[in-house]
Amino acid sequence: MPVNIWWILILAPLVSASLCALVLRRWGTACAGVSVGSAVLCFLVVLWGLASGAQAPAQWDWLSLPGLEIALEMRLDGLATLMLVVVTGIGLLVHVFSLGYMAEDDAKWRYFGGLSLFMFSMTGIVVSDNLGMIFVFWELVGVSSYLLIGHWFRKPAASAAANKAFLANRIGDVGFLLGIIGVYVVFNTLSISELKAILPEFTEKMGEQQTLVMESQKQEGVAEQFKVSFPPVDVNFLFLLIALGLFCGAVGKSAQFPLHVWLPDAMEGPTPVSALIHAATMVAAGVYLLARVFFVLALSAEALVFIAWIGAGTAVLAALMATQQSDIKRVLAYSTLSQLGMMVMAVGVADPKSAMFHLTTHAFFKALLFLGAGAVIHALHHEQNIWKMGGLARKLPVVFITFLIGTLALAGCPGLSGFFSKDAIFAAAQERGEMVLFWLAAFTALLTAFYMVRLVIVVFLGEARDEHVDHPHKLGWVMLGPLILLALPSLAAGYGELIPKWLAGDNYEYHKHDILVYVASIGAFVLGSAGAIVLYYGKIKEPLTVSLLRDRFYIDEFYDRTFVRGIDVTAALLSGVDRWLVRGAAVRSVTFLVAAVGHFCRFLVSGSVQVYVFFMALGLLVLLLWNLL
Amino acid sequence: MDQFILWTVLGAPLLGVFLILLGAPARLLALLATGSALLAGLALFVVTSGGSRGIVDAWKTTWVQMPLVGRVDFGFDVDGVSMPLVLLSVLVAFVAVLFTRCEKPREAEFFVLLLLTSLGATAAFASVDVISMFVFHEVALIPTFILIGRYGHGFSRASVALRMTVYLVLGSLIGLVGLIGLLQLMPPDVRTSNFSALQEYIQADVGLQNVPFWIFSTLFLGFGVLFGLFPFYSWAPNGYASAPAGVAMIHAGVLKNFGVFILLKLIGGVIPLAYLEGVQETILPLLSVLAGCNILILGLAALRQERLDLMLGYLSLMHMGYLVLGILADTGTSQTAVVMLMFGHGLATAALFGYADRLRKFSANLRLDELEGTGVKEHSLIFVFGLALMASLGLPGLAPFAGEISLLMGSFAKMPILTAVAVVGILISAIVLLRAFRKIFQLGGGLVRSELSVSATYSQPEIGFRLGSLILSAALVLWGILPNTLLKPASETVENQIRVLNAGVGRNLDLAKQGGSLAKALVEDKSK
Repeated sequence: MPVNIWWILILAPLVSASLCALVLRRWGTACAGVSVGSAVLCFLVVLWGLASGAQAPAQWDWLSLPGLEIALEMRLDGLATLMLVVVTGIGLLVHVFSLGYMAEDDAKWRYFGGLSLFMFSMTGIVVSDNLGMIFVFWELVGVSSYLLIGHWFRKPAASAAANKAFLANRIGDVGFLLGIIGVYVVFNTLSISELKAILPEFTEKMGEQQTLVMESQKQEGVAEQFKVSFPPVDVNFLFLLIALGLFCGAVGKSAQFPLHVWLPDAMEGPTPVSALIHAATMVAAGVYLLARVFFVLALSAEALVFIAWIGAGTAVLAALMATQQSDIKRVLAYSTLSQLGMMVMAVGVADPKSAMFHLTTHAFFKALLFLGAGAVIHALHHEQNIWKMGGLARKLPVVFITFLIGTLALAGCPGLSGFFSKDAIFAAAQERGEMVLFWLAAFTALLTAFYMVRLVIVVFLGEARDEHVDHPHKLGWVMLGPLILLALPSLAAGYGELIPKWLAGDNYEYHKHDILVYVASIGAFVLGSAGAIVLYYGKIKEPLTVSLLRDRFYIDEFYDRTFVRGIDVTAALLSGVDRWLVRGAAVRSVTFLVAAVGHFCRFLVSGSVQVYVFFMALGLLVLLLWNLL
Repeated sequence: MDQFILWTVLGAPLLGVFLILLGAPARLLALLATGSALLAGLALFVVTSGGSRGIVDAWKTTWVQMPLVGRVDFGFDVDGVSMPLVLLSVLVAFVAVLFTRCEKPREAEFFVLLLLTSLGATAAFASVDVISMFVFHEVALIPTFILIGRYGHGFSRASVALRMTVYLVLGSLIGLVGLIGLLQLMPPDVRTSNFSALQEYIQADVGLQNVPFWIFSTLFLGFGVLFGLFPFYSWAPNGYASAPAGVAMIHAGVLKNFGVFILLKLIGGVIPLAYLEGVQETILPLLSVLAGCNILILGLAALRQERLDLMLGYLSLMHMGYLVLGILADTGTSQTAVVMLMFGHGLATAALFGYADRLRKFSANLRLDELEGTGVKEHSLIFVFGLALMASLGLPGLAPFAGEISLLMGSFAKMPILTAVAVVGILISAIVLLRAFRKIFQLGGGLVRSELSVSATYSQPEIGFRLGSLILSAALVLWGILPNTLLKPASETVENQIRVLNAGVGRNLDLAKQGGSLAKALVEDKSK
């Protein structure tokens, strides 16, 4: 039997992760080798598969019950293959970069095993055609993210950040799971292909009638009058609930407001992990999911509006927070949040293709920026405060040039990849007539240019402000190579509208760009950069402190005071039910009752003659009365 | 062949008991006995293809003939529902023996009782007769009390054991009353507690669909106590905390499921829940509220526990709420999922209790504050503990998840609110477990303290512990990746039972329409 080549994509990282965890624990270098090898293999498989046009393999039944099928079935359309290239390509470069960055780590097996586990689950999300299976891999990327954020778990901040990330994702997943269950209950399938096939018929059948009478499954043979059925439900309301449920998954994974708090903390993980998982791929999985199920989301116009506003809100809020951070990775983390918000907004204005376009270009230049930041941190012996850097352009020229390319791409400099994909989103918002969203996006772009140029100026230009800068750690080619390889697509990925064409296939029709779009995007870039240059050039400390922005609008503190404490208080109250009501009052009263009966019985057989005489007399009296009446 | 394997599963522990009583080395014999039971259990799983084809020519005999309960049969067979539980039972029993040691003078007594516990559990799940199931369950239960009282931890173990005895014996008795009441619905000449005979009886036009309200409530109340239905759970957390590791593993992981198992058997195959008069309106909402309390209140109570063993106790009670949901939702998918979930959570719970006992090396009373970070010392433990913990919080790829997701999918249409509560419960269990994991293994503060205080008493885990944790982890992963091997046979059995039940009830309804039958009143009532 010929083995389908696409299985290697899933199995190679799984084998690598198992080897690292079970067999090769003591041989860190071997783990690194196996893991990098599997990443190379995955990338080659994707290239080979695309070049040869290999068909998707037959499905593998994971869980099959009558009426409920969760199978691993691959769906390799333009959307999935684009994402595969991004995931395996950037994944490979990050693996290679890690060889240098993690060279001195004493738990390489955990690190590289975690990376492989991530590659396994991420490719799983990308290729799966079944919502149930997507959820399976969705949770598994969550775990790999948890493991990698907490890699240095002896630092309390790292283990706290890992827990926070896992739990914030779980909150989103509660909604996601309910949304999936909703899809299953309404459409009776979890397969995306099947959904796509039955949806037109379904909506047509709904047509005029606005309510849906659902019967629960599995009632064959049950007499008619006993079948359980719901009261008729308003279909639009149902679609809204399903769309919002699925969106919850994206809110958690892509760290949208109000669950955005975990992503900046996740920067406690090793920097290559931040580049791969918390910038380029995993956090983008939420956007990918939205694009995947867009045809379901689109059933509810209200849901789309909601999604667009959450995205735009996250974009602006996070960009504002980014302007005041002083940790190099945190600036990039807030920037990631903000860009993810833009992508989510693009989905909300009914243009998932632009969202995916931006996702792709963003993956390249953000991975580049994070790896650049990683190189800087590595060179400066793990210094992350940008005010203790400065003047690095001369010391680390390759890093500087590539970082600059990434910055310009992210800031939307005309001609670089980010410019094109950002414009596509602007155009989509404008075409939809959402002018408020349009200007919010433009404002975000302005802030993006501002904080990125600020970052470059403070880190790379001016005078060195710390002795580490004068004696940087030497960077090998395993670290510089990936930077250069990522800089190329950051420059060029926007040209020729290759990516939107890849997504759309032949029937591609692109937005007509209005002059307003260009004015807004170029204006934002120029104004933002100019502002940053004026404000930061030649400064040796933060010239302008806005504590509200620096302290992230106090949202984390607010959550700590309300939700975290709220759970504790609720738990205390409810365990009061356990302690006082059930184990206390109820059990005690039963014990008391039993004891009372026991005492009474003991009293009966106490051996005291008086008592016996008393009861004899009582009995006689009763008998007497009985006879008399 | 089948017969031989089946009798090995049950006979090996029994033989072990006799040989130990005759003076053979206790732990070794217990290992051999449970080990061969495990091998035989796996073989049984393979040759019966997960229980779906049952035992060829299963042997049975009439045990006793009594007026109140009719014919009670003694015999064993497996189907898709009981096979996973038999497997769970032999698996956990072997690991429990691997994990436990006992000092010399009382060693024989300890392992005899432990073997009896596991033997009773296995026999209860494999029995073909409802009353025999009940009797075997008692065989398993009574040694448990003695083991906790005599070999447990803590000063209050005697009173804890006593409380557990009172609760569980009372619960069993109430359940027995319900069972006997149920059997009274059959005419005396055909009355029997043999399960398949009960089903045939339903199929043969007569039906049990007019099960009185009180019988159903009594059954649920009695067996509910056995698995810790809210608010009859207070025996459990302290009971498990005081029990020797092996006993906590067997009871929390395996035996506690007996109440759910028998309810599943009865509601899935004998009592047509959907047709019960009055139940839909009255007791079903009440029971779903109680199940919700199991999930929410006991889940949050777990969050408040300061000791690992108590926390695990509450968490295992919380999971029982999911099983109740699956039973009440009463669909083929949800009932199948209950089987899978009993298996998966049984494994994970047993594993966690076993590993918690290992942590007593670092803090005798398992206070989370004292454990702070000390677990870091034991690398192999971090991995297996983390795996069991991830299984318990429902990570895909590990055994409980398959049960969880199919349970939620199968239940939502019938009970949307309780299902939503159950989904939120998944979040709660994640909070509870991750907090605990961080406290035990990640916080650095305890590391220094552990170096100081633990090093004197610390010793590397023995080979038995390593082997046991390997078996548990392998099982969690194996059935997490291949849940179909359990789910498909279970689903066949469950769907078949439902078909039998519906066919029987349907015929009755037809009869009733033609005039004059048991179900007439019911139909009239429903059509109103």
